[in-house]
Amino acid sequence: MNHLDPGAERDAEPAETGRLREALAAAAYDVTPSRVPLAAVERRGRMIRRRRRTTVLGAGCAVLLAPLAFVTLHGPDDGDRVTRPAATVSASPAPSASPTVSAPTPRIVEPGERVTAAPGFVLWLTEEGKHWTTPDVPEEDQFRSVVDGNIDRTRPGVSLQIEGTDGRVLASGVYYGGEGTASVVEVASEDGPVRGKLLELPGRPGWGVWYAVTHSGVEAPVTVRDTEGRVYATLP
Amino acid sequence: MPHETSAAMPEHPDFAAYAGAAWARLVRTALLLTGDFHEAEDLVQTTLAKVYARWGRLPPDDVDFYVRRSLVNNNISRTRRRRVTHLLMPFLPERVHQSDQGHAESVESRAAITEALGSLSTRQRTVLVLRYWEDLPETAIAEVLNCSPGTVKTHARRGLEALRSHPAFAAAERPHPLPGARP
Repeated sequence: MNHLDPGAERDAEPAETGRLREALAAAAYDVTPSRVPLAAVERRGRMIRRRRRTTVLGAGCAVLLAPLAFVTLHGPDDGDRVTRPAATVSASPAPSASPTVSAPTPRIVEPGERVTAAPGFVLWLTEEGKHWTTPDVPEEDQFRSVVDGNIDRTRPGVSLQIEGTDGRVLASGVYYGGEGTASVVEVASEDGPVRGKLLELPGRPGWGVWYAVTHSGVEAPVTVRDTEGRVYATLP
Repeated sequence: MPHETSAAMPEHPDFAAYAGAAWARLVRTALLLTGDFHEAEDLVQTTLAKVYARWGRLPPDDVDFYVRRSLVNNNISRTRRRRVTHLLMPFLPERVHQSDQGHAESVESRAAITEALGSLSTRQRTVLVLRYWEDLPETAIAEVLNCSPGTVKTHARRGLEALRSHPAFAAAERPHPLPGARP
């Protein structure tokens, strides 16, 4: 049962695993990773180190087990809250069809215009993609490109990034490729569905940024609906 | 990009060198584990931040092993807690654009393998990625997952069976060689 040499193991593999290797390689090389965000990584690493040293709220286990260092699950504070539906509201209710109430549309922002979602949590859009900063590292802008070929904007999609600080969970992402005009976004949380906000550049570029700020853990699904209540894009 | 310059003091120059060299490979592995590029970059960034926090205490010879295990465990925990999920699309959408046939095929192949991998359990998927992308022997995978080689074999066998019967994977295999494959 010893497997000392992967090459020897490979010799004994059926042909289908060779095809699997090719398929995995093709998928892996189909993207172009950005450069390593070294400064941001090091700052977060120092933050983790400090948290380990100062153990707050008995969160040591959470630090060790949390899948994302950015998501902290502190109790609520007096920070900004987004409007939450009642906890019993089911996910993704279809918007009212009332003809007298027009569906919301994304806030149109100019390239580079800063939008403060919460203190220190600032987002802005450029033609290249989504930029944001977090309270932990306000001087380090983060970036997700929509033009580097790593997402296919001809197909509906929505991404989710989660970060947390001081009891707030900051969720955001890029949506793109859907039909119609994006209108609302809803993301699941431990306290029930949370409705976020949408930002787009002028001229209907075919993509936009959504964000939500909560005080509880956020998780998929994320669903963006259009002005007719249909699903524009979803992350299941 | 200002945040990508390393002018701001590599307190651990070795870490900077390691992270710079390992980043692309880790992102590609994470992409196969998660199915989503942005999730992959976030997962690797989280993993490297945790590695940085322990950098001075890691035996130099074990760094790769520690990083790989940290990446895998972070992904398993992430999946278990469902803080984030991984698939951009749970199904193969209809092709919208075919202006570039090669690119469309590439995207479709990637979507197919992503979809097929998404049908596996997290551990099955991890084993297949480590075995057939990272090219690790079963014994090394067992160490990463902290299980027996027999368990690795079981995950691999069941994962391959699931892929074999998955229509998206089968369809992607049929028509043409997958572009971008390593020799």
